[in-house]
Amino acid sequence: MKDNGMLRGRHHVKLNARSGRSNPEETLRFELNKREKRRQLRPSSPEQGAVCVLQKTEEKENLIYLQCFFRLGSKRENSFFHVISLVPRIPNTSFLDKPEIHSIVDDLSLRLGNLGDGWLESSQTSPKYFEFTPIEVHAITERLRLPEPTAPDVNMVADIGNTIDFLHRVRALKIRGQKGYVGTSNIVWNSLDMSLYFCKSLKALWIADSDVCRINGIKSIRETLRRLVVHYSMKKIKDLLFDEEDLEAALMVEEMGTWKCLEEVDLSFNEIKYFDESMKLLPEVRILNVSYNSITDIGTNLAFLSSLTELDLSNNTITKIDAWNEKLGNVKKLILSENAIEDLTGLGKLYSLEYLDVKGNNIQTLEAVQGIGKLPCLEILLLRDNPIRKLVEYRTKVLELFGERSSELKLDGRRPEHRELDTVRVRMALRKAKEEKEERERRRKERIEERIRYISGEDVSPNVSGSF
Amino acid sequence: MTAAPYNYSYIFKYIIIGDMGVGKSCLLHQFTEKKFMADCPHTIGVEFGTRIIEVSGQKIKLQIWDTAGQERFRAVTRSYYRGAAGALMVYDMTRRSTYNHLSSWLADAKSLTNPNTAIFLIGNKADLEDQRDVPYEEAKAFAEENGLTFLECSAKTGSNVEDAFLETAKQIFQNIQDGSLDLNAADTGVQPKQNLPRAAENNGKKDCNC
Repeated sequence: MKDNGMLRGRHHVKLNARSGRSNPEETLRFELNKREKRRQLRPSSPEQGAVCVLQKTEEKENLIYLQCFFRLGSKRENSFFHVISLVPRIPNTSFLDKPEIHSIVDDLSLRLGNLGDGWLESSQTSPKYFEFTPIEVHAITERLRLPEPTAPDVNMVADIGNTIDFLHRVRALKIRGQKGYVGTSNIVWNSLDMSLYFCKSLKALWIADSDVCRINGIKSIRETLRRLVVHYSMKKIKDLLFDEEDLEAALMVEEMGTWKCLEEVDLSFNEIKYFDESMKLLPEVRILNVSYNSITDIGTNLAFLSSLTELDLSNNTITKIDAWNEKLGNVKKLILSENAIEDLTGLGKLYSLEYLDVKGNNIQTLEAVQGIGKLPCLEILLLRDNPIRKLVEYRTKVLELFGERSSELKLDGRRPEHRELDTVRVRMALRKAKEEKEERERRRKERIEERIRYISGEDVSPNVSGSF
Repeated sequence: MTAAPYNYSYIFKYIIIGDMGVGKSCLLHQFTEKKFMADCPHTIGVEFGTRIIEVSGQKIKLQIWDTAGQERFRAVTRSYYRGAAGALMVYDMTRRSTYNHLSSWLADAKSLTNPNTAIFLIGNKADLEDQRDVPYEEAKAFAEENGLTFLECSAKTGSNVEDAFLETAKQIFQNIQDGSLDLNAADTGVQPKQNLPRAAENNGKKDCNC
């Protein structure tokens, strides 16, 4: 979207350049165009002097340009975007140069100084996220490292205090990057260092398309955060949950500060392979969503989530469930749809389960489901899109596994019908009769065998009695 | 509009300076949170805090930059001096060395802030009277000599902390009232806030209702 805007902008410039430039914004774009052209023409020969002069004039232009921009900034959204998109970067140098950092932060400070309070006030009545781009957060982070006065202007209307003040108080923050490069530069969106150190009241954080390895200042947000959402940004959970300082101090996980208030964690759509030891830092998490990741085995670390009641592991690559009652605590809702599970026996002792979703797995036989028949609280079972559905009288057969509780079970979104329940009851009665009969038969056989042993003198147990 | 918490007429920018370990961050914490922070970590670069106070019926928001006392951060922290309306210069009354360094802090403050900046001298840790290393009279004399206001306070008990911040604000406000502080001048550290039309521009892209 933005890119298109840019392109349109450039066409616009060309037209305007011919037709005479009327307003400052267009002039600006013209400048931009010129500068870009010049960059392309920039000689790669070692004529140092010439290049130097060129650079100098460019720097000057840059400043004029940025000053222009700053004036416009208040009227435009995301104005910095154009500034950055201008300049291709040499790899391994700072992503933004000083004027850029200033222009971004000053613009933000100006706007937040004017509107920040109002926004925060209205967000108290209707909670909403404030959105930053990674570039903005990065620029703020870098800006604070610069030994420069807090305000660029003498009136201090764009004092960085406004931004920091806002960060201090904002309760819900969204940081949304993009894939690929920033504009026409070679800055990779999700490679920017960001610090959340000054966010002291954050309740909700939403991160998308920005590498969590680059985020620090965790110490502040783990004190207050209640809800955490991360998409397309993480390979290992600990990359986000561990605080950089704690790691530098070589603390053991047990010694690190926990996320005291975090209750809801959504890490769907990432590349998580396993649950690492950082789970120990989430004692209060109730809801964990790790769907659309690459988990094959849940390991043993989920046991540290002592408040967990809802776990979503759908769309992963789980194949086996082995004694999950030893790996999960008091989980009530478990979503395992779209995995490759064949057998549910491992859930048989997870007695807290009330809701189990195993849609779209590879469950083929009744024996694979039998194990969960004894779950005392299970109310909802979703078995759709499994090969087991092809069994004749699939519903009644599955319901039958739940015995007396079959009437309380909602299978595949439907309560059992009377007819189904009747069938189940008849089958159960039949089975019971059959079992009793078998039992009698078995006992009789035992006695016969014992008698034979007794008679043949192999066993001299005095307890054996009875008759044929 | 009713008395919304964000309705204030001015922003005053403060800085807190002084040697390492004199209790600058604790003072700030006591002032903003009304709590004593027992094991306060060393400040890296700067910390920040705000509180809205009332002076002569006017609501004023204090934006307080709490600087690191460590020498290695001196370059970064110096940049926060400019445009400060108030400066709290803190020493630890149980450690004479921190008092002896005041002249260097004062020199920094005088040269980097504007002449109207209200500089307040604070002798912290007044709760440790039995370990006193700097007599009250001596510090008082130093303050008078240099035209500073002086108070001894304790970030631990909270005594006089409130006063230090409020007195400074009163002084600045007084300066505005009597015209000695010209709001149109450069780097005053005072941002007047008009009653902004609230929510007027609130419909930008930044508003994401999810």
